[in-house]
Amino acid sequence: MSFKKYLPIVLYMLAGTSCTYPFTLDEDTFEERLVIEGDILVGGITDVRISNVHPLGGEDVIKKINCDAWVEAEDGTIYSSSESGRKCLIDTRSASPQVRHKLHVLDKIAGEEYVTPWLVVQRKAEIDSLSFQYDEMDDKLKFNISVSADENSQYFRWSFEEDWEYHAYYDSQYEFIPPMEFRDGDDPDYGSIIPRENSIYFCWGHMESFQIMIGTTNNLTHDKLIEHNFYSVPCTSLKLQSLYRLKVSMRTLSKEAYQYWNTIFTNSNDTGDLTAPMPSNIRGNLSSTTETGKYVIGYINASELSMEELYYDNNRYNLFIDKKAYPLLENVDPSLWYKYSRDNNIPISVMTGPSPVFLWAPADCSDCRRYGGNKNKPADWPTDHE
Amino acid sequence: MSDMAGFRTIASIFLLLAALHTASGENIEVKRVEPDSLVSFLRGRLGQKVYFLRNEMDKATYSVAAGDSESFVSKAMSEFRSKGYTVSSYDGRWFITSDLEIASSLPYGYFSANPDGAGEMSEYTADDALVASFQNRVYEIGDKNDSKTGKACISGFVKNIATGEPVIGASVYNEKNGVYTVTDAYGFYTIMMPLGEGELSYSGYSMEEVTLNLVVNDDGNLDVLMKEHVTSLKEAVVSADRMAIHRNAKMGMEKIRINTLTKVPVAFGEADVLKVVQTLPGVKTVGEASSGFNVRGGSVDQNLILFNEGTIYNPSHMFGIFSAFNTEVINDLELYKSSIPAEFGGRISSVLDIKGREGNANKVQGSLGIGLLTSRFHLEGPFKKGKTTFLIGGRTTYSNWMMKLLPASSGYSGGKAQFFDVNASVTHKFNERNSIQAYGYYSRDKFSFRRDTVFHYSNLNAAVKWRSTFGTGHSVVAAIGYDEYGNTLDNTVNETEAYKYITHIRQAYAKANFKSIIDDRNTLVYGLQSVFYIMSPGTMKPLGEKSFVKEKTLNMENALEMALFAGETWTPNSKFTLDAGVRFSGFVAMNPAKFYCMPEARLSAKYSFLPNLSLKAGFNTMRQYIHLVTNSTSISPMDTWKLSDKDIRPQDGWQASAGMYWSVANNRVDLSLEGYYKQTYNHPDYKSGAILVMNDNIAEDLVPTKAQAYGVEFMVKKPQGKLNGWISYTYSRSLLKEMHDRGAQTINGGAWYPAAYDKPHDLKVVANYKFTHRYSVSMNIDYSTGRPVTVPVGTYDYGGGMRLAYSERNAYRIPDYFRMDLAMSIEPGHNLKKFTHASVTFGVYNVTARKNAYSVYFTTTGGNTVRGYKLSVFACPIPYVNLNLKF
Repeated sequence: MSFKKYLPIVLYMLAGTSCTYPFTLDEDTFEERLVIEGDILVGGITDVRISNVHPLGGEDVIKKINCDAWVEAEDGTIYSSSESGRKCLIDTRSASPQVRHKLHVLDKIAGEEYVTPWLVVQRKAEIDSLSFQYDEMDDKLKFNISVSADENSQYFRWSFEEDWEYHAYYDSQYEFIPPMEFRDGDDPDYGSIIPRENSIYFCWGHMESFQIMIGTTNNLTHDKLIEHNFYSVPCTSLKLQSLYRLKVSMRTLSKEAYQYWNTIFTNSNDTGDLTAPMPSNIRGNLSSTTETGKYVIGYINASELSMEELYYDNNRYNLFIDKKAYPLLENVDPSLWYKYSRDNNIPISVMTGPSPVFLWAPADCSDCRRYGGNKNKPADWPTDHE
Repeated sequence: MSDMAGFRTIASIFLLLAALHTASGENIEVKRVEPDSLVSFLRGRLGQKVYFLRNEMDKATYSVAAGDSESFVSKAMSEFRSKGYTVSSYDGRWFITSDLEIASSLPYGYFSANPDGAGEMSEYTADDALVASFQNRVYEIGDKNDSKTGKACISGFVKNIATGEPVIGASVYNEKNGVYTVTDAYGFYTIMMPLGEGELSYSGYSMEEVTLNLVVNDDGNLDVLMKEHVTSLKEAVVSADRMAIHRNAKMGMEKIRINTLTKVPVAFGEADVLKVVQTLPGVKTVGEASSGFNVRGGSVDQNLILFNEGTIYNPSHMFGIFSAFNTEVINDLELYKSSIPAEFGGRISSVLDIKGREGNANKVQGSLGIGLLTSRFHLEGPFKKGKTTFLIGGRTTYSNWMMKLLPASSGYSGGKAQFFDVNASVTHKFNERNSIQAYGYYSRDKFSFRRDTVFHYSNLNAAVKWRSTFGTGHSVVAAIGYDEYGNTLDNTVNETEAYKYITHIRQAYAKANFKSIIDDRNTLVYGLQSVFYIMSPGTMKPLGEKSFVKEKTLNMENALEMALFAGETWTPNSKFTLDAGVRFSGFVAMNPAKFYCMPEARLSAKYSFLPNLSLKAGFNTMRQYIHLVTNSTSISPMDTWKLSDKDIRPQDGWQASAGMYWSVANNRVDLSLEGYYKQTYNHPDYKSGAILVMNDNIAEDLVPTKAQAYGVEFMVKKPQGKLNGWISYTYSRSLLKEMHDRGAQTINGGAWYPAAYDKPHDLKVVANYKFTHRYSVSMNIDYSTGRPVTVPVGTYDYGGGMRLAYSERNAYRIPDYFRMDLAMSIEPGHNLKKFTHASVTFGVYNVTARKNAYSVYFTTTGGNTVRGYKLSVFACPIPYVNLNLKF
């Protein structure tokens, strides 16, 4: 439990005396360590990644890594990796949850092998539902998960992928083709405006979770999580502007794996306060077969994967808060098109008449690609927008 | 044995102002003179002995005429009476006061065990020598016809003449024979004196020093009323506190009077017990706003904090910004760092003994303190004059009210932060030999900076103490009491998982401490103590109807701790003193049963080469059966306590120390140099990744550690005078090491690592300069090496985001700490007619605006960036003002 964030509040409240300043370590604290990540996913693809600890602020030396990995089942089956190097993918779709497994990682350069103990495949828990809830006090959308487990599957870790569709404020129907050489006078060449072939009105964003999201039913009267909040999105986020999808993956953890993740969470998010737990090094379950006690970062868990997805449609719930102020469209004389274009404006539409007039707007509110997304629409996206 | 003779004394020293006036012929007449002139006339021309306390409102003129001196004096006194003065006389002296009647002797039976025992009283009155007559009189103790031989035992109370309160810690000594004692918490003393003529001196902090000439015939009582010293700015009074260091064998003992305490500048201006303790050499803290303190390399749970006999488990409000003690109800405090008397035990580093005051025995008075963030009050007085007194006090903060004023945009307007503490005590004196005190204390803190998380913690103490003297030179203080510390957390982050988390420790105790003066060379203390603990390591309950949290209570821990102790002070001559003690402590843990016991040794000796130069050495062993379970740097409201059981062994420790003490500059300045080395065993530290909350088997997440600490402390102290204060420098180390090899899991691979409070260099300056009796300035300087921390050694990608890889435990240090504070105090004038007396303190905390690091921490933001931060809690100069009203 951290009180770090409370102390400045108390002092702010009392006298406005407390301040936080950027801080860098004077000393070079770097210590080289190997990191191995790769839960054994029974019924899926085991993704093993081998990396190194990087210096905090200094120059990183990319160390060459060439590893091989394989999963050994207690029944003697070996599941080999299709690749080697920093990333090894092992097809464990046919692995049985009834037998124990262990992960082997071979550092080909150092000639050193790391191995886990036999790991029991954790019993799969089901995601009952995903839901969201509007938090009007903080103006955010809280995403909740409900899980049915049993006494042998009480610890969980979630990860997610989120996709969202959004659109620019103005739907640009035209695009400006600049002149080869700007020319004014009797024979001007101001460039031309042609109908836009590829819409820049709709875009899609995609992110994968980086947060550590863990939970347990260990303290509850029954092995169920009901509407457990694990993630929130501010209502001002563009993610909620149109259609948002959250795809959640859940794996059941052993108690030890849960403690390991909890420690990483504490070490990375909850340090510094005198009343917060001091950061600590917790040993993983990988050990070197040649050097006893060698410190390797990583805890390997064996489980199956449960998945669930949820859509939020803003047309239905209308919780998105648009705080952006948008300029009015401007009627631009052709002689200024080129200048306008160079000033990051694009033509939006045309007022037809005896002499058509093109209306322009800043690209920042007309080109959806400028908001971090792109035109890569997910293959299974439910709308027909392009 | 003859009946004990009672002696009653009053101490009052008067300053006389002399002026000459003339009278002519047989007719004596003065016309339209001011009262001072009339008094001068009476003194100078007519040879009258007059004590005059002028009413400042008296602007009248006086005219007196008479035929002879006697008539003139009589008429003059009538004139004073007609102007509203009280005139009394005794033995040829006149006392003219504006509102007080001067009693020339104590009320009949004032100190008597038997009010009717007139025959036991020997009346004392002032004699012909007006000034200092008190000290020049010869007091006869016991019947001279008694045939007693050898030594006699003299005992009695030392009290403040103005308030009737006991003078605690006053030195009572016979300089010639080197016999020495100090008054106890009741102002009571017992001392052995050789028969025949002799001198007995009384000296207390800020009190007039008194030396009495005695003729000792037999055992007897000698009660002394002392007067507060009106400090002469050019004078350096040799106080008991200073010479006391050469009279006893105790080492590492620091005594702080309330007067000193209120002078040290602290943040937000409120006098603070713990902050002043932290200015002493050998005392460290992990941060400016942190609860608890560390003494000579010990952890925070190794300090026994006693407040009127009760144990205080969390001595702070608001994460350590304020201490939990109202200074208005405190008399003094003593910190034992090394030579811990045998009567104290249960913690292995130090004892902080805070003694509350008794109420004023003569009149009702009180105070009201108003600060920027807190207010406090106290009220005291007699229920029955001379018999029963009361004292109540309270303190609270208005921070909660201030938070409501914050704008919603600040994000904090919904939060709450509040605390209060209250004290109450009643003391009743049955007779001279028996008194009883009932005492209560309660403090409570509440925080809620988010809507979904609320913290509480509270201390409760209640005690009844009985004090009695019996026989010759024997006394006992017996107490029973109840202490409770509890904390709760209400968490409603997820409605279906909302819970209330509760822990508490309750203890009932009984103790009896005896003291016997065997003879003038031997004093024995002995007694027994027992504490029964009832501890709830944790209860988790569902909070709200929708919560599915399983109600769970960890097994209650019950245990009985007992101790028998005896200590002897042997003073064969004025040069050498030996304190030797043994404490036999036993501990019975229940469910499952486990018994521990061990004798503890307390040894210290002093040899004075010169009256002002002493060497001391000491050796202590200590044992502790209760432990703070924490993985944070400072005490957290979420921390719990753990009793020893079959898995958690008691903490053991020993300390060897030696020191030299030298009083120089005509004993105005004390120099001391102390060195120590200590080791402790079985201090429970947490394993990496330990879960300490609601853990059924917490022993599995704790590991026993061995600690070693060593250091030297140098101190220059000038207790009194125009410039007073102290400078101390400490070099010390405090290292820990896991006791057992757990292979790769062993903390720091089994190597020594610095404790979180290991700050090798430590310089402290506390200085006070008095311009006048009313105006003074104070300065406080604090420098120390930065404390050790565990910092990131790099980052790595894991679980989709960037994570931090940490160094071995406490492998680096935060930047060094430096702070200077200034304060100015304006004390009230000496106008006794005023109903209220106001004092004002204003100052600036951290005048240099140094941005000291409270902590450094690193976070990963957005999953791909690491940022380091330094949190500075008092990053700018903090001006403050504090108003104190006494009435």
